[in-house]
Amino acid sequence: MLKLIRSLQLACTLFLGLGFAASAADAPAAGAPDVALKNTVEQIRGLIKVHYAEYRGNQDKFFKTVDEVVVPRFDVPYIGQAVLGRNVRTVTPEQRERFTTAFKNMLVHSYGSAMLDYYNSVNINWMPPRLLQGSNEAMVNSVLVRDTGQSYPIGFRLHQVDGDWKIIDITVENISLVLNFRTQLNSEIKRTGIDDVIARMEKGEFRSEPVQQQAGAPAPGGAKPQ
Amino acid sequence: MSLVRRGLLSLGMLLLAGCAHRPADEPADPLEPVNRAVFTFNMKADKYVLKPVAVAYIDVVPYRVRAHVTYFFDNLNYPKTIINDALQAKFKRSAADTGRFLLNSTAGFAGFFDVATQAGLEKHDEDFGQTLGTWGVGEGWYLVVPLIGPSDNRDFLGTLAGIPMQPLHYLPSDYDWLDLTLTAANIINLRANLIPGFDNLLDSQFDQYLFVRTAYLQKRQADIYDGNPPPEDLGMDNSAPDSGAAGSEPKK
Repeated sequence: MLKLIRSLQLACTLFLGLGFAASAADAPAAGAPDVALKNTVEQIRGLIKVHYAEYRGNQDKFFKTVDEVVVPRFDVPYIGQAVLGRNVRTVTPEQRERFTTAFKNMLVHSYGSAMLDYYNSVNINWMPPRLLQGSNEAMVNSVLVRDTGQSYPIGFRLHQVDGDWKIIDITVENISLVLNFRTQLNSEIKRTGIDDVIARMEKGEFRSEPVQQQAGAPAPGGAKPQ
Repeated sequence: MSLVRRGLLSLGMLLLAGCAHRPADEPADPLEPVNRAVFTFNMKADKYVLKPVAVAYIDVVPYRVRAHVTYFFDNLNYPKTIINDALQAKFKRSAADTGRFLLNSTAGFAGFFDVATQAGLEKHDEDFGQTLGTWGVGEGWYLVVPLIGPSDNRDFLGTLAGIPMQPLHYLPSDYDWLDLTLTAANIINLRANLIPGFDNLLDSQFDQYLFVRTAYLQKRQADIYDGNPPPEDLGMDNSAPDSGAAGSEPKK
């Protein structure tokens, strides 16, 4: 276990940041799957660079920026359904929409501030995109390299919606965000019911506070481990 | 090898081969109650023994030195990768990895410096569990092994078979102290490498057991495919509740 999963939290924060970033640009319709991704990664990093102090002082504003610029480019309804998994058959459309929104907000809040911390201590090496056979999906793999030399494989899984490539899953060290949340949330839904889980998500219960604290603090071993 | 042992081994392989890969979010985990208990125990053991030692190690040894410790242990255990390359019929890679091991063991000062990577010899990671996977053996049941951590039927067998693939295994018994010391140092160093990132990630999960289970199984699946596993089924293609599933907007 020790060897298998290295410093995932950092990678998570990074990749989510990048993921959100990735969808920000106006993609040329149905271009290569990685074009918009690369452009928008640069775009959000540029935004953070310019507005760093402002975002740092007013994180709500930053979350709003993420929400407006980045989130629309994810296929959020698709991700919401995928996370619900087989529960999707038993929930009402209204419950599904609330769930999806709460889930999206949870991610934006959980990982938003960490994006700020790591934006300038990493480099991204992109691999060529791979079209997945027998579907309209593609994988764009990348490697994040920290200034300490550690590297993390990050994968973006995309599909085409009306000529746009939208992100439907992100993997860190080949661990899928969708599958991770599906496993845990479905177990909770089974235990306490969908409405309870939605309410708790809306209250921020599943939000990863330790990540936020760790990332929000000045630099407690966060950006640079020694 | 005695006939009995050989028989048992092939029987075990047969049993394992019957189990195909299952999605990581719904694995075979019939021992879940026991696994959860062991997981809790392991977490306690980590909290009160291993983690404090690892934290002390981080305090005393600077990051740059620890990086070389990691190189040393990676190199020390590299024969395992070479052997399993060959068992997976990746013969070219096995040869390249042999070169890597020899180069780092000599010019890299017993592995403390990773000169091979600079020379263009990429690092790989293979073990016998992965080899079984490439032979078509499914993961079977998910297991949590006391003091070791997550595993499954296939990888547990792979771990046992991997013991004789480690050079330390062949130290004469006079050098048991060295074996123990190095093994302990390796574990502490591996644990230290997870701080703070993995600890924070784990803390932020609301069901740590399920998180580790999902992550472990996906990680192993990816390892078997050398980092390019076939994408997991997100369950959206045919089982979607309405025709809007593949579109960007949910249909009302």
